[in-house]
Amino acid sequence: MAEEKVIVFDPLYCSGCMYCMTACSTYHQGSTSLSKSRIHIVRHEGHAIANMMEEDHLIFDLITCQQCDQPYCQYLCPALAIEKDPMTGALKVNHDRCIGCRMCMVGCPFGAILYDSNRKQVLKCELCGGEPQCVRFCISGALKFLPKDLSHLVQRDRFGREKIRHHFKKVEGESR
Amino acid sequence: MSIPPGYAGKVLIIYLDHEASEILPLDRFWKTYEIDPQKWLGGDGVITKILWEDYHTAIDPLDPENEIVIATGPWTATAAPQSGRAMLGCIDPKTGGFSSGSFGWFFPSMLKYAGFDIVILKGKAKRPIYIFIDDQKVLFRDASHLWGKETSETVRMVREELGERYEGEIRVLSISVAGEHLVKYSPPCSDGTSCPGRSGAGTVMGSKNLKAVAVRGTGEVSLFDPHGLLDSSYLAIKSLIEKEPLIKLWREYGATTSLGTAMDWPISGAMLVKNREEADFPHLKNVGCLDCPNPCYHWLQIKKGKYSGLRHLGGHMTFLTVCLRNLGIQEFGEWIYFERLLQELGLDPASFSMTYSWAVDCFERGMLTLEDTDGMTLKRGDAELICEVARRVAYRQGKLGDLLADGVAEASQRIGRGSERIAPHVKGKEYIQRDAKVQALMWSLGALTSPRGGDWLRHHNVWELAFFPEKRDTYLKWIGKTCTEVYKESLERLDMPEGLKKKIFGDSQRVDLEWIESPKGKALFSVWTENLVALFNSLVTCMFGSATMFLMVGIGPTTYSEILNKITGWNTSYDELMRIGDRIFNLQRLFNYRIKGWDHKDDTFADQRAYEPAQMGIYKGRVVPWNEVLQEYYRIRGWSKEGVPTKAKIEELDLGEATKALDLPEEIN
Amino acid sequence: MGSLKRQMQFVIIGNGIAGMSAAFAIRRLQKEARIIILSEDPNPTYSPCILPDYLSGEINRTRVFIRGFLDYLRENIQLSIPQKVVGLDIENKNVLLQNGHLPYDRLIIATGSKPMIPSIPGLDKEGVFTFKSIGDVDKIHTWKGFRAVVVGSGPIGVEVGLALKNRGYQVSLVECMERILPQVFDEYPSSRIQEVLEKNGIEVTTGERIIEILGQKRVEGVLSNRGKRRCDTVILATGMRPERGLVDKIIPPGEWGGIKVNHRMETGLQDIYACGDCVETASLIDERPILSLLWHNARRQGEAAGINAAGISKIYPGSLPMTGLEVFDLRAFSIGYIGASIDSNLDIIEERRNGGYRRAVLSRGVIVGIQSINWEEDIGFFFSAILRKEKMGLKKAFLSLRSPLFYIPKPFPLGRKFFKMETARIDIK
Repeated sequence: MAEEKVIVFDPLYCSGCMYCMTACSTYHQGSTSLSKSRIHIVRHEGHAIANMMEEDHLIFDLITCQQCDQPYCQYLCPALAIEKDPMTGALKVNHDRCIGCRMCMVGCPFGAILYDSNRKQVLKCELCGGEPQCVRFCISGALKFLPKDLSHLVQRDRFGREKIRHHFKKVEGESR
Repeated sequence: MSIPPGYAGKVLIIYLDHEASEILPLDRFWKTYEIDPQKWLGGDGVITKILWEDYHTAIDPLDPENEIVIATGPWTATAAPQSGRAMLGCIDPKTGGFSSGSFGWFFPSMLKYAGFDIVILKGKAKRPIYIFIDDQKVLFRDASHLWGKETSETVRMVREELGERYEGEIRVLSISVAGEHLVKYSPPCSDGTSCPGRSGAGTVMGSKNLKAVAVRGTGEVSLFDPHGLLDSSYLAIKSLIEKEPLIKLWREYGATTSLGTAMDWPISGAMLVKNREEADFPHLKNVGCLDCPNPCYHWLQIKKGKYSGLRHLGGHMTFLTVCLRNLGIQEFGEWIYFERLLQELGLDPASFSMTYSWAVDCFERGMLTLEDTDGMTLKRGDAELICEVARRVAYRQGKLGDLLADGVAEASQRIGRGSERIAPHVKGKEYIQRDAKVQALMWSLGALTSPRGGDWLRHHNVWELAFFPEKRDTYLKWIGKTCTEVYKESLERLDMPEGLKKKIFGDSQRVDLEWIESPKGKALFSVWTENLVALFNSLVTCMFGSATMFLMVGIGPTTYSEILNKITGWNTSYDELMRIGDRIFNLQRLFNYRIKGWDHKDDTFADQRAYEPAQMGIYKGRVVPWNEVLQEYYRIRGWSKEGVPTKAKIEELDLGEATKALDLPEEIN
Repeated sequence: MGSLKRQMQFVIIGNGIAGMSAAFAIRRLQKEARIIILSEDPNPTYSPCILPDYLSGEINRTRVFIRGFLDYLRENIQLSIPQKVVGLDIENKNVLLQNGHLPYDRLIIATGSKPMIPSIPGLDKEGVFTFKSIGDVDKIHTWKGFRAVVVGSGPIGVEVGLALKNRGYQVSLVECMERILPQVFDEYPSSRIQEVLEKNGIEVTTGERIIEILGQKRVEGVLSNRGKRRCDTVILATGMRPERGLVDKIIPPGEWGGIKVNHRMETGLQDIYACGDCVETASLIDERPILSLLWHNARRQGEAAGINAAGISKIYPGSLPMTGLEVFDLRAFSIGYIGASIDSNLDIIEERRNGGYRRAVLSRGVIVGIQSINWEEDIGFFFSAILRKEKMGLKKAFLSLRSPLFYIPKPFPLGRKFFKMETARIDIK
């Protein structure tokens, strides 16, 4: 079995261009769309602009499948349609089996599964067979595809940068 | 004719008089307007064609008869790079001629996901209303409570009223107080972020009692070759990011980076970068429209001074240029405040600043008195005063506000006293004053020949500016290369056939910085650039990242054709695409010629200082021979001496049918 | 040495999802062991949850089966069907079959559940069906009827009603309690579902108890406390109860009549495990014993039983009630307990949003259940909050618990400090 990898997100690098979303839907649906993307960037830029006096906080956030080790979506599926891909470790929806009952959506603690009303089936991130298009098109470097046991590094990195920013406000221009 | 992939497939026509709407299939609409998508693409091309078919004579731009066309293109909302743009066109409230503007953020893509390629707004509503396009449903809603609200307040209220479930689900194109008070240079604003700045469409929307257009789209855009599109787009982005020397700075600091190149900032990049430390979100990346590899909106938070705490997403070139050069605002915080204020009020920064700048000139020369200015002593450098004047203009308040709200051309007509001779406009539209001082020939030529009056964005050739003798050792140090190196690399990567390159630059193998300072080949280069701009405005994609930005080595026509073929399944080539640009530019010229009679006599600066000896640049100490330059330009374009496209040129561009009724000259200049 | 060692023999009774999961879990851990599944049903494993879709004709029969014979063959699991188990000999570790016996090293009982059939006269008439196995559905498929009475309005009753409606039947849903879906939804959501059912032409009556099924040979009607009702089909969907006939004498029944097991799915008898619908486990929420009778619980129980039987300790965290229903254009979900089942310190928080509704059930300030109507986008957050046993005494905490996607920050003041246009203007002299 190949090393299991996951998509990790660093919100401080995100430029909100949503190329990950368009690339995802283009690659999988064959047509570009934001609503049919298996990865979703959440935007709060209006808040950040408008609350001028507030302390800055994160503007972008990511919703996508975390490829859980204890996947509730898989447990809940009455048709056994969600299976682990032995090569990539991704949880894949078997569209021959999915009956569109949406129990997996209910069970997902991240809200990462979406419903395709045309096909009457659910869609979820399947890591594009080991080469995620969203990561490929993430020019700003916010999305990274890392082995599961290294995925904490992004958070550490971010945390470290925030600390530095906090303590050395004077040199923040250079600290990046 | 079937609808090719890449188009959403519907046209929405809104009759504001009856608060009714009509949805047409795109192919039927194309048939009615005789639009062949392979000849006009979308965006600017379609707008030009629609206006051409709808108006045969001049109209009052604020009459209900005027219509607003929002047009996306095959590029919009796909996975191609920088696909978040659309064009918005109408009859310009200032010039009475053709007008269109590119805008972005997420309104255009949402519109296309809602299923519409083109939205046409006709007539005038009886009461203030706003429109909600909810996928294929169209709702008309009362906007009397929104009337008088500024841009972001409007956006917020509209989104709240329509029950937005998460931020960004509904996108709003709205006008602000300036548009409501029919200030002649008010743009609408998409989500309080991106405006078709120089179009003046906000004024037209105000005259139609239309406060906002909101859209929610959940659909999709079909593609011919999705995987091929992804691969081509990836290559295009990669080569842009890796090869373009300025892109690193740009991605760090946003649109203001090009101040170093495009504007003759005294110590270019250096000071700007330093200043930014006082007002910045250093830990956040720039933000951009859909699919943008080089986003330009910079997070800004002012940390010092009067406006400390103010947050803003922007830091755009136009604002900063005019602030510095024409308004004399020096402090960075004040620049940002000014930018935000103009956005909230809905004023075009270039037009407002030039109008104010002109008023200061007049005031200093005694052409305007204290009585005219409501007792204010007009001067440059006083940010508070300038912001106060901006507020008065937006509300058309007092004598000065009312005067300046009409823009330079009308205001100078009104007060007379010789102020017309220093009014910085071409064909009634302001251009940034620096152009008249002629430091860069091509840039100024663009203002003369632009189809929407004095405007640099239909040309935007930074080649000359980037290698200006004064700047050869300034901004370049930020990218760690010498001027010669950058010139050589840029020339190599310039997406242009070898023959044309030779015609313009001479021997292209040789690094020839002399070229910058001579007028040779510049008219030809201008024509090429104008065609290119018309091309990407019809695709529609963004200027920042196209070949007219960044030393002309961004995404060029070759890449455009490659990606467009993947989207639509056509088989277009470099030449074909450039011909489309040529065709669109020519029809815009013809349109203005037909309804306004604009020709050579109108290709002049109203400001007579432009005809005085130049202070810097190629013609330093000499008068620029504008007439000669223009005649060369006309000849290359295939126009007559009078600056009118000839019959031969029209036929060459397949415009024959469209222009039958016109009496066009036979003879090329 | 290895070849001389006798391989373990695992015997699993029942080929539902629990038995199947147990078998596959064992196979993952022990590559060599013998695994034998015994089942009365002649079919390979199928999903009873998607039987209504098969009944309505949305999917074909083959899709009901989630494992084929080949899958068992590939994993080297011996499938012995149909095979009736008549008893157990726990002294000698033998499963007694009709003709012979089968020795086991570890036994897993996954006999599932059987329909609860009310004792009313007339059950033997043609046209009376239960709804549990694929055989039942096959029978309904071949039956030609026009008017159906569905007795009982649990999730199965409602789904069967919908499926029959899809097949062109005229459907009446009869519930003896005062509201439909009494175990799954509280009053308001239940009434919303009833409304939608009635709007789409399914007759729903509550508080009606069927007394007799009328007719000669075939069903001609039903008699209830409200009077007579003509029909030609009766579906009994009055609930399920654990099938524990095999161990009735050996293991005393639990509170609800299931086989009582601990968190390792051990029955208390040596080397005998039980899982699936036939067992009674602790609830995930508050450790009280419950019957789950639900797919995902059975699946995890089966896995846990298999792993434990294979010799590795694995804790089954507990059962969680969870139901999803799609009724025409309405989508309803219920997770955890409903308000009616909480006896003390009950708090209800309700939220409405254009057409959507949701209701959180709190007990002592801890979220124990959530019901939603047409608002399921971020219900997963509540699901995980229930798993975490999150304290939510305050409504604020409840409201903040939603997907970042749907988290709209407080209405923004838009920096009025800077842009108060009206008041900021200087008066003109």
